[in-house]
Amino acid sequence: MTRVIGTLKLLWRDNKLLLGAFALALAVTLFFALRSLSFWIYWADPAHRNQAIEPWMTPRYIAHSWHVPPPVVAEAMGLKPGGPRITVADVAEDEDMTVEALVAQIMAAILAHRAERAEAREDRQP
Amino acid sequence: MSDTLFQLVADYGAWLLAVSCFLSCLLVPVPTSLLMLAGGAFVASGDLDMGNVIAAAWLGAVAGDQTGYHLGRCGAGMLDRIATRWPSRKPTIDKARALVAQRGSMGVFFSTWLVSPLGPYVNFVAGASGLGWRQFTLWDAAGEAIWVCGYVGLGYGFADQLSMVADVAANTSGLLAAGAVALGLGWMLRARWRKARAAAAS
Repeated sequence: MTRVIGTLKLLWRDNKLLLGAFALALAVTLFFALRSLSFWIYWADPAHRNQAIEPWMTPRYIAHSWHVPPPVVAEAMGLKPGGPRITVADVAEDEDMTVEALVAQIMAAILAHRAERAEAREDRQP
Repeated sequence: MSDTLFQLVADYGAWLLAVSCFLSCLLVPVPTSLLMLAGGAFVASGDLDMGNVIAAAWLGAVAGDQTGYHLGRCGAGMLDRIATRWPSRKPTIDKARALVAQRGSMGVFFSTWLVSPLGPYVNFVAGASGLGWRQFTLWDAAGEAIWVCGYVGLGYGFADQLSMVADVAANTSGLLAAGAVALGLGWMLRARWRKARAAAAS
């Protein structure tokens, strides 16, 4: 320990700037390492993994994220399936409605589709 | 903030990626890695074309690096002027140039993807210290291909978890860059310490 302190003293005497920069870089590295750890803890909770519908999402992206066929989302947004790239925010503005109302509409369609699918599966089982 | 960025990618597609890759290779603080992740996610959903996204990002990055390299080359004249004005500095400058000429291409390669925040500096230094253009371009283009495919591929693979991947990727990139800087400074400190110890012993 005394040897380490001795070395640091020696370096501090002659290389203040370099030692300071090194300590700073080390601190920044540690900061990012701790943040990695906090992300890991946060995302380990399955409740944090559901991706809510956001204004930037396109109908196809929502369909991909929620594992439903793209036409389900497109129709809930009042669009023709297979149209050009457009986002929830764009559609809400065009339709003169709030993003929240549009998101609720899409969610309802997704849940309805899932319920239908679950029913179809039950019917198929003897 | 990332929501606005994702919205921009949805609006402008591959063109936005080309411009932002170009700028971020020139030290303009644009969150290009996030944009590439979003680009990959939109490829997975079927909103963007994989070939277009990768080509646009890669061409933008290579063009940005070339610009940085040539700016460095113009700055090389300054190094020459320093060497003629203060001849005592000439050996140091020559030594630095020799080092970059010998090992520079590896630095260029890794600075494009593994420690990408250092990339713009490395391009400039490579140009200023006279690393050959062909060698620079070859390693740079190869490294940028890894960088672009890595981020776009990550966005594609984790398209339904974009916010999570964005957080983790930005953090990891910061961790690697800060670690590389700490390692480099530590190396310099060790050399100084050894010199000091040798001087004390004699």
